[in-house]
Amino acid sequence: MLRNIILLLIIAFSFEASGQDYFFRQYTNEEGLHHSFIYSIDQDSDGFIWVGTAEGLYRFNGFDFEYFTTEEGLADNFVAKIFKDKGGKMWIGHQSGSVSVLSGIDFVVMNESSETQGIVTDITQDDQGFIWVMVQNQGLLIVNEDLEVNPVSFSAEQEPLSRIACLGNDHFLVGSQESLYLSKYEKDAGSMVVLNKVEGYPGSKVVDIFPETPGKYIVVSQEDGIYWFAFDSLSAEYTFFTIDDNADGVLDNLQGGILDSKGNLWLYSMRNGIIQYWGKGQDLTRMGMVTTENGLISNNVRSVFEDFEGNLWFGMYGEGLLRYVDNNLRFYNYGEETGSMRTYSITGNDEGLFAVIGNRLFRLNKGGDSIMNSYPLPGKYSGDVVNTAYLAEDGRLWLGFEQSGLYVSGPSGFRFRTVFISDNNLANSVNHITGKDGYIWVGTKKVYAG
Amino acid sequence: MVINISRFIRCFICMGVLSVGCVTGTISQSAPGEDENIPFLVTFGANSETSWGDDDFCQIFFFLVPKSYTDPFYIRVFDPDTGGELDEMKGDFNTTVRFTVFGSNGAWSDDDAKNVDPVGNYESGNMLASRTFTQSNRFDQEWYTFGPFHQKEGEYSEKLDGYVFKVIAKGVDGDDGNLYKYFMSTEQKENKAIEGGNVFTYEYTFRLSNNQNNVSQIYPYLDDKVISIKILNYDWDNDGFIRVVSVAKRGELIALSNEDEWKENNLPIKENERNTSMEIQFIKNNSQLIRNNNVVVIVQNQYGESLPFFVIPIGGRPVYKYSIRVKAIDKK
Repeated sequence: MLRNIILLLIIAFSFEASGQDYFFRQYTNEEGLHHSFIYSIDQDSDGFIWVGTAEGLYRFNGFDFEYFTTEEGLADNFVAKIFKDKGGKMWIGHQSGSVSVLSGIDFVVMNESSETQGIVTDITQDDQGFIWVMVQNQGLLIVNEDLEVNPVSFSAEQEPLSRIACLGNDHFLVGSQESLYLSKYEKDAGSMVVLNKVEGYPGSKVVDIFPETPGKYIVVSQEDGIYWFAFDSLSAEYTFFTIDDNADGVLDNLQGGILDSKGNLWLYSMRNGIIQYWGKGQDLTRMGMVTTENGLISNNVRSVFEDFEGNLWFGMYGEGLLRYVDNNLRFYNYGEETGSMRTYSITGNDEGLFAVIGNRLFRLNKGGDSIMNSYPLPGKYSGDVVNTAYLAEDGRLWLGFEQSGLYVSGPSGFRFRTVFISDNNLANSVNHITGKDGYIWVGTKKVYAG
Repeated sequence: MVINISRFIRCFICMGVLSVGCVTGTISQSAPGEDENIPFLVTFGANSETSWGDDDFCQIFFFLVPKSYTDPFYIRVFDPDTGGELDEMKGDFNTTVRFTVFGSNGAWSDDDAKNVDPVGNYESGNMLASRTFTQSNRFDQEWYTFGPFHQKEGEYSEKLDGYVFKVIAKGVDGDDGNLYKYFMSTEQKENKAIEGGNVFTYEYTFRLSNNQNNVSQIYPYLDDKVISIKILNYDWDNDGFIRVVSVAKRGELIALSNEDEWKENNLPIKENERNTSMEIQFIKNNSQLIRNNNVVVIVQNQYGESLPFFVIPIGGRPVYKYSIRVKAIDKK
């Protein structure tokens, strides 16, 4: 029997390439998402998905998008970063460097914009509950639970800062336009002191830092690949090595990464779509890419987020919001090989699959991703369709037609013979076939037969 | 050279640009521009001699995206590395040049951004992308693409009726000359112009052609407040002559700079030259071939304010208009 449920869906608008396709649900104007450049996505404690765009903030309830702008209290319409803290507050970082905090039903504005401070590049929370806001030209800010903001001096501040991750015990990994710094927060002095500039980091912008497992982090650089960083907060010693150095250019213009709940690492770029990895640490291996060639609407992905239910959301640059339909659902099409886009029935066992597509029977390989052979269908009436197919334990293939009744193949090969049911037309319209203990059961529009 | 510019005067210049508008059609937004007939822009490494034709090892260009264009766009750089056949080698190639794209508030409007010298807060605005290039087979005579970008990431200017992005090419290290070109494109992998877009700079550092019959030209825009201008050229190296064409100037020759020096030329501006583009022509020396000549040009108004050179001349290329006097015939 089939071990996995595999849906064969031949999509009328599918692409020419054969093999696995990915399927996404796109949210745009129709659902009320009027701005298509998505910079950040997060989910609040009530399950609403928040979407940051260049022209406002949206909240999605599963059906509709609600729109928030400066009129509703946001500091600025350009939303660069959304972050939910451990207490459930939503922090909205803006292009202007200001931050809007959703507290209850109102936005509280902090770090109001000046002309020079630059964009909010990151927001995170440390293990003591303080919020850290990183502003490109302004540097680091620390915010306490009363929303009091204090600047934190950083000894390598001449470079624009891009990412911050809390390592615990007042240690931080700070990414900049060109460097990666292991740093320690000196509370009394109100400064972030660089302990080490991480050697081996190649020099392009740090676009993401996120934990793989406790104490172990993946560092994503914009142009030079991905790296692994492990830190012992007691000894303050670290290990750093390259996972993938982007020698082939596939990892150009990366925007970040996410490790999903199933253990997949997804890197997203504004050039080559999504690159998927599997494994851990140095054994992380590229599994494939999701691009316009196999289902992605555009290769410009700006943000990715996994919600509570494990759904992956993709913020596209100019193409709205996408939701990856189901990680277990794979879509196949066979292009011109089948001569038809309509799949009527599918059956199979551990050895392989049979699919009735158009007016022919196709034998597929075990994985379902390629066609092994094809055969003409039996049937009395031209244009008749196969409603159901069943591969019995003895290897015989049973076909039930809409009008032509029931057919069965020999134990080997695919020469079909008719199985008489009745002279009645409705009884020759077969809806379903199954089997148990050597018996075949057939459901028709008038009777069933065993 | 440091030039102080008052905000008051800047405002007037902006208004002048607005009053003419950027009627550019779908002419490509490349730098150097199609009409300019300039082979390459040039930026030398920080350890170079200024006598090689680059006074400050830094070049700043602004890319204007019209408000009406809302799709993603790209800024492309041709031959961004310093190495291979096109670039100017001094000893072995050892030069690093960083290209950085800026947007958002201050990217263009900050006074320092428009200063012809890279001093103060000239790297104003949000850094949107940056990439450092050395010698690289991967990028030699190839296009490197920055972006995509969205108009809202730029700095909005009501007077320019669009969003401005800034690209700074800075020679970080080494002593070779990096020769390159820009293109603002709707596509990532090909050069496709944005309708209504334009590219401009306040200090133009470029390579002249090695063809003795070549004439290059650039187009400063004279706004409605310009009474006189000062044209500055640097390190011309006896490579022919420079002349000025406008609706009121038929090809006035200007004084030429020698090796590693600036030369100033003051010209009055007539009323009908205001709100038009001027053409500064660079006519190669056809008696002696000067190879690999790099030159820097600045135009300032009477207040020392730098005027922008648009790669697509505002209002089109200027044509000298003859004034015909009608003389009354005395009746006897």
